[in-house]
Amino acid sequence: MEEPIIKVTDLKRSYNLIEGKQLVSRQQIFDNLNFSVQRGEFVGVVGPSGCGKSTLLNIIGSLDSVGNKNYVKVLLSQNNNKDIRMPEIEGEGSVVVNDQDIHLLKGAKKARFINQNIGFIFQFHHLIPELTALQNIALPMQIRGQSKKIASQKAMALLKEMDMSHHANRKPDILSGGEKQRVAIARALINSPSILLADEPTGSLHPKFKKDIIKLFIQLNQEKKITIVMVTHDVGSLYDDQNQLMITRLFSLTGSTVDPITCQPTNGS
Amino acid sequence: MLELTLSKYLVKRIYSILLTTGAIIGVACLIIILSLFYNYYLSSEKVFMGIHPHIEIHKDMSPEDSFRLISLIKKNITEITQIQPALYVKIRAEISEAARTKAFCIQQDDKMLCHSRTDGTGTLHTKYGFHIKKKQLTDIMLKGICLNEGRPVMDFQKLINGGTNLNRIEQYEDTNHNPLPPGFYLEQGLFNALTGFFLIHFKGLETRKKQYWLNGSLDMGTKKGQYPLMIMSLESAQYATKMENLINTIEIRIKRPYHANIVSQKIHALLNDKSFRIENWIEKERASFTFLTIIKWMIFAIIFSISIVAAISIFSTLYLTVLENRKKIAILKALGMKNASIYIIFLFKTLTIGVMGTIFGCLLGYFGSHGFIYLFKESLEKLGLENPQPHLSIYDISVIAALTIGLFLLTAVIPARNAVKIDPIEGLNQ
Repeated sequence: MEEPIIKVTDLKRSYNLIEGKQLVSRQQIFDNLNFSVQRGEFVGVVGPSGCGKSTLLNIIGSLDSVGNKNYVKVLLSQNNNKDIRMPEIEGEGSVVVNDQDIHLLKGAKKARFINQNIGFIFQFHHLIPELTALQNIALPMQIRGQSKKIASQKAMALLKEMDMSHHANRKPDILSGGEKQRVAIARALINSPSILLADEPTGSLHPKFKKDIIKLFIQLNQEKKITIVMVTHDVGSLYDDQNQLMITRLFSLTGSTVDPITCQPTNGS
Repeated sequence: MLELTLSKYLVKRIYSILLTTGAIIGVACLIIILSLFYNYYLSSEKVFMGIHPHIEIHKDMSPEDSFRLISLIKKNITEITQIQPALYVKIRAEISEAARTKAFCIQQDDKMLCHSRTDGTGTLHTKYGFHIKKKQLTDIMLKGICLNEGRPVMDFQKLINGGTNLNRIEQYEDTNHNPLPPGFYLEQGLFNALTGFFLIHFKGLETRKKQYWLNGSLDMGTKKGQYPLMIMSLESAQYATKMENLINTIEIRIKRPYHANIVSQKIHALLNDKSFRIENWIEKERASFTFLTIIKWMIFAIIFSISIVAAISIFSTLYLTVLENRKKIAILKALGMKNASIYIIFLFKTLTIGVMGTIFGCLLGYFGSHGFIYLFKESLEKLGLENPQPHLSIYDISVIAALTIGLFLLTAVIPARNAVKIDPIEGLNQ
């Protein structure tokens, strides 16, 4: 069997709430989470708010680290004034993306990995307002080292594919939510990444644009064979009119299956 | 280049314009002040060259020995343009500025109260009296020099206020063969006079005062020696000091004054005699040159504070820019931008400001120094700067450019490091 393109093994993540050098509380998000995605799959990650959907996506995309981070000084005990260093965020486990253990990635190597393998799409588009749609799309390719001319040509081709070539020289401020998200998707696609990570891509959109964006993702998955992991609250939009799931599968972070009607995880496994 | 493009977008244009303006003002001020200072430097250098021959060889010798020595050096050292014997002594003198008037003889009780006589040919000898206006008893440095076609070895003509015809110091009678008092030049400051009659009594050598003619005063306002300088002909100096058969200095002028050290070494090797003391003007004025250089760099440091203020403004602007643009920097990181590229974005920004500031600052400084000197030429001349001109050296401009750009680049380091440290998750959630 082919190795999964994303393989998360025994991932742990907890947050230590520290106030005035005192550990106040500890919140565990992942406890030995295992998750894998095969090449070409379109997986929807669902779960209630605060269960770590975005965190999982950020870890897979190397924006967040697997291990401990944000060390602060805390008192060992109330009777003892001795300080110890404790991470605000604790974590361990293994995340392998495209045969690369991302825990081992640092600095320029990590940046190159993100640029060449991952395409991020965020809920709030995160376009750079000073740049035009074309410039925003061309940005990752220019970061990769391609010339402005080649990057602009490819960006223009992507805009045409999305039927947005007339918006090429417009800045994001004057685009609609759906148009912005299309620009963000084009930007994520320009380096032909093997994985698209979409964090609530329809969350901020008007309902009439949601279906279009989901259709676009499905089209990208089916035609370009891009692996997509999408975090969403809006499970309903992943079903067609016959209540058939349009994507490969759903993954619930609570470990339960997802009710397609209520869009909430059920109690079953 | 992507980093350059992004650097334009991250810092607001108005901030860039203001910061570049600050840099331009700083660089322009530096150039104008250094240009003015260079006038002062040249003015001082002119005095140094005026009061010293390029090279001096000191040793007591007879005139015959000095001529032998001169011909030996002339024959072997090609860089020499003029070489003459001289007498250079410290001496105490009573110098009196005097107004000369004809002495009238008054007849009283059938007697003349003054003597008048005629020689055998019947020529009338006019008697003169002197009205002493001011008298000074002081140690002076007396220099007896020789002229070659009216030119001295020392280049002191530029320092003269008054009569610039140096031949007068070697003229002892007029065209009618009437005796003339010996001419001399005296450092300005002892007396206000530019020309006129003086009575000088060299103490311990003569019993009475003798009449001399002040041919001109030496303006050494930017450089005063330990003792006032008096220059007369070698013959007059030898006569006045009762050293008729003594030469103690050989003065040398060379083609390239700044090669004085090298020529000195050549002469030293040629003479190969430790009894000769060879000095050159650069060596003699080393302390003064060092002082001027220190002053120059002090002025540089003070004026450079304008650039430091501009640099602090750049630092604070970039610091705030990073805080304002956390989200954009996080987006760039999420798109896979390397930390080095983020550094470069900020370095490019400061480099642009520094380069623009230097280029336009140099241009403004160039035209500003011309304008300043055009407007204030008279005032500067009154301050002792003769014929002030804008002087901009490539070295000074290079130092200004390198320091300005270097300083500005330094200001980018901390903001750029802060930008690199931004956590993309926190930045995106801002």
